[in-house]
Amino acid sequence: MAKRIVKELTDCTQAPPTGMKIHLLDEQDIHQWEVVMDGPDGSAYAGGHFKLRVTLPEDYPFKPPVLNFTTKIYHPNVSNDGKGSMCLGMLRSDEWKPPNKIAAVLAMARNLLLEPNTEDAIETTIADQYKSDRKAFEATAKEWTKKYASGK
Amino acid sequence: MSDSIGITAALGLTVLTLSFPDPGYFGILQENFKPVDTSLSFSLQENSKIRTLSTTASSPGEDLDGLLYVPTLHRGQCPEAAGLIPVNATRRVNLPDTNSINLIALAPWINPSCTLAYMAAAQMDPVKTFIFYLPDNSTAIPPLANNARWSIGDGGRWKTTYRYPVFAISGSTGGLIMQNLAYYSDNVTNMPNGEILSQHIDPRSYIRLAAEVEVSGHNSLPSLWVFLLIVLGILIMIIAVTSFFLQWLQRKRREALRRRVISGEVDIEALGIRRVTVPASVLQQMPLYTFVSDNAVPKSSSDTSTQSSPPTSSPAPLEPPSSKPEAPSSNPNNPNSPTNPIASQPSPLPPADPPLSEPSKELPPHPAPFSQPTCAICLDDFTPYETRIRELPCHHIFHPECIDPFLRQNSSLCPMCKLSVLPADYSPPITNAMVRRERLLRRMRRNLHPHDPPSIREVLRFPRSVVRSSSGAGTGAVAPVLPTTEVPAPVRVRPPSSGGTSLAPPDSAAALRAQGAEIRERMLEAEAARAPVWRKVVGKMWPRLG
Ligand SMILES: [Zn+2]
Ligand SMILES: [Zn+2]
Repeated sequence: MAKRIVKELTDCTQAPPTGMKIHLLDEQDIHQWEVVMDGPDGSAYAGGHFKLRVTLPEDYPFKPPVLNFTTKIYHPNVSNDGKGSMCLGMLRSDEWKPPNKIAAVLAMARNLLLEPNTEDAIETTIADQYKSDRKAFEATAKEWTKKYASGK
Repeated sequence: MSDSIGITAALGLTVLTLSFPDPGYFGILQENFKPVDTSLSFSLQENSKIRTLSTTASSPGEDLDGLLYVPTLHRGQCPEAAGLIPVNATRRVNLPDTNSINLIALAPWINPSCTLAYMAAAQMDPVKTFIFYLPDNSTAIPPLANNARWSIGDGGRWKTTYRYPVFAISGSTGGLIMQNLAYYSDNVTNMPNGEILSQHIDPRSYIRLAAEVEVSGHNSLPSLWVFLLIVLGILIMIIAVTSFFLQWLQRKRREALRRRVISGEVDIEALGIRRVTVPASVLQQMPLYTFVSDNAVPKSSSDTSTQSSPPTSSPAPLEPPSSKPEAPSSNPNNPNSPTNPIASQPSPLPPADPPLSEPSKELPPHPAPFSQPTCAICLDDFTPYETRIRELPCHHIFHPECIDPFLRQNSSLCPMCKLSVLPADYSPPITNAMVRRERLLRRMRRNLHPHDPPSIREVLRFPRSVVRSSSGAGTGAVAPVLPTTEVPAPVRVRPPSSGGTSLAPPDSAAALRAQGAEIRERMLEAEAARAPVWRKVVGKMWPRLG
């Protein structure tokens, strides 16, 4: 299904989803994408540029892609373990549908920056803080954004 | 290679003189056999100078006793014995004519043919054992059992031919007993001290020599082995019975689940019990035809119009759409396919057994039921009058080269709408693991809301994707971005038997879905908690239990 990947890549590079720049990590390997995502305005991540790795499995689109933040980010749905894995309902293998496109996945990921999903959190302490003390959460998120995601 | 002690070894030999009334008149009673005063009769005790030559048919610890005698050979056999056995030595005819009294045979070991003749003769009598001696008058213990002196030249086969143990005593002892067998073979009056004896003993009584070979019995090892073997045997039997029972039970459960799958009560894949793939025979039943322009259906309104009224209502210039029409006789496009018209009905048919020939049903070109310009798997547009497409029972269309591998290897659910493409009465091979998961699921379902089973069941039969998406409430907010490639899903068309599965009303559905997700989560947890080590071990013993 390399054809589909190429097609999606072409679409994404020609008309990138809002707030994103997309390119291959290695020109030889269409299964590894690198995305630079701008923190959405109005969120604690505004002004930050977050790097993500999109890994497409061999049998994509039958198996879901894998998303990892390579830039450190303070977010309930991104694992704070150096891997930066993002858990997204639609990316679970039992829920993944081949018609979903990477652009849609990325758009959803960006939306998650705007509105974290505390029900499905991977970092439960951050999720709790988000629910109970929004101010403190935003302060830390902004601080991290400044510290790790402000560079180019 | 020591003494051939085998299991049993003789520890000692006792010879006594016994008196007993004629069993012909008095019967064989233990108390009738009385030892004769040893000061007046022959007796002998040999402790140690005994070799065990054969342990056949002996049991450890069980002493061997009986009246001593010399087996009678056929005329002409073993002439060498003539000088070694007194003429009037006790023979069978000198003993009561009954097979109910144990005997012990005695004979000199002269040469292999004599020995064989004696052992064959003793085989005819109720002998408990045979005692040989080398006629060399030696007082020394006889040679070891493996000594060439005892060789018969048949490789030891005689030990299994003759069903009694065989011992050897020294030449002098043997000769002495043999001599006394001559004294005590006839009337009391002719015996040593006959006069005195006849005063105490009824002259009609027998007075004969009897012997007892004491056999080692302290060796508890053999019986321990027997005991262990019995225990082992019982264990194996228990295991076999249990295993048989379990397998029977599992087969019952598999059959039950299979019936429920076929009846539409359980959807294996939608429940997340197990991924199911589509067999080639079912796949070939799905229509294959050439895509026709999407313009046949007005694009804008197509959503509502097609949704409300199933495929038939989207008329097309060329040919009525897929569902029923079965172009009666011929499929002009496809001369090489042996199409049977019945098979061209969509899904609800049972997987008619594989007609082998490759793509089975090629329908004439016609528009697909909805506006579906693009293959959702490869994202390529279909070219009218050119692209061959496969239509699933839910009426979603794809390139066969895209959808076929997916259905064969990944899932039995439509990638677009997650409805099962399998015929209603199709059941995938049911495994024990599936049975377990389904049972667990059912148990949890019961525990969760015992008072409200029907609606819960509704939820659980709900296609998986729908149920799951509720697990993250946040997704709601994101949803609008998603359905970029989505095409309107048709009204649920899964065939009749799955009847009850109409969509739940939207508001209660949300709650129910949440429950469904909860159940599934719990199920996974519970399953992780189960499957302990013992199950793996047991699984190895009974492969199918795994
Ligand atoms: Zn395709
Ligand atoms: Zn479908």
